[in-house]
Amino acid sequence: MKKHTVIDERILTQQRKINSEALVVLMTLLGVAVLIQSALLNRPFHEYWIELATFLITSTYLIVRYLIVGLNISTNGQHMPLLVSTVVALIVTILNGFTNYTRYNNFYLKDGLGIFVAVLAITFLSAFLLTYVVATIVNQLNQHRQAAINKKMDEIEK
Amino acid sequence: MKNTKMKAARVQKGLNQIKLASKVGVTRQTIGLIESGEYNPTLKLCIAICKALDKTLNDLFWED
Repeated sequence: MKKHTVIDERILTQQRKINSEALVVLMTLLGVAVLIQSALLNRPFHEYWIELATFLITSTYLIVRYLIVGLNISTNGQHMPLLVSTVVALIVTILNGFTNYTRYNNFYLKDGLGIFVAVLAITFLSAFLLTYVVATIVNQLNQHRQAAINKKMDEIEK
Repeated sequence: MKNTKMKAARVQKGLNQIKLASKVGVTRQTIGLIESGEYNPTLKLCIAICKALDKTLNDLFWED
């Protein structure tokens, strides 16, 4: 006799929720590990590159999967790249400023803080531009995918 | 299996997928996928759709 199997939706939902929470915990820990090792402990890059690579590869995987499945990544459309790049640039500038000042404060105090401010400005601009380019590409791909899905839905709805 | 009953009820009510999605608080894609039979909605969403279309669960989701 064939056994009739039904997937227990409650268990499945809770498993997915736990897995999703575990991913958030993992990504947070990886991010914190990279920040502590690079900014606070001044460790060389080769000591934390695996954590950084894992963080970036997982983030890329999430974005690509969202795009393929057709889930809308950004709800605020064209403003997303600007917002994301400003936040990222500010974080990078603060961390870099902190690390830089801790390492070279003697130099800055002797020659004036002008160079330090210039370094911060260059860091902010570089981080902003790089993130803006990446965020714009992701945003364009997202908009393109959403438009394609809506077109397909329009054709089906007719 | 396509849910033609839901599509017919929606059209009868004068709603497009976007308006129905907005009424029940989901995306248009979700409504489209339910109608095309590619997504199996939860009971909660089925009830919300039924209320929005003034239909019963039997009317929209029971297969004869």
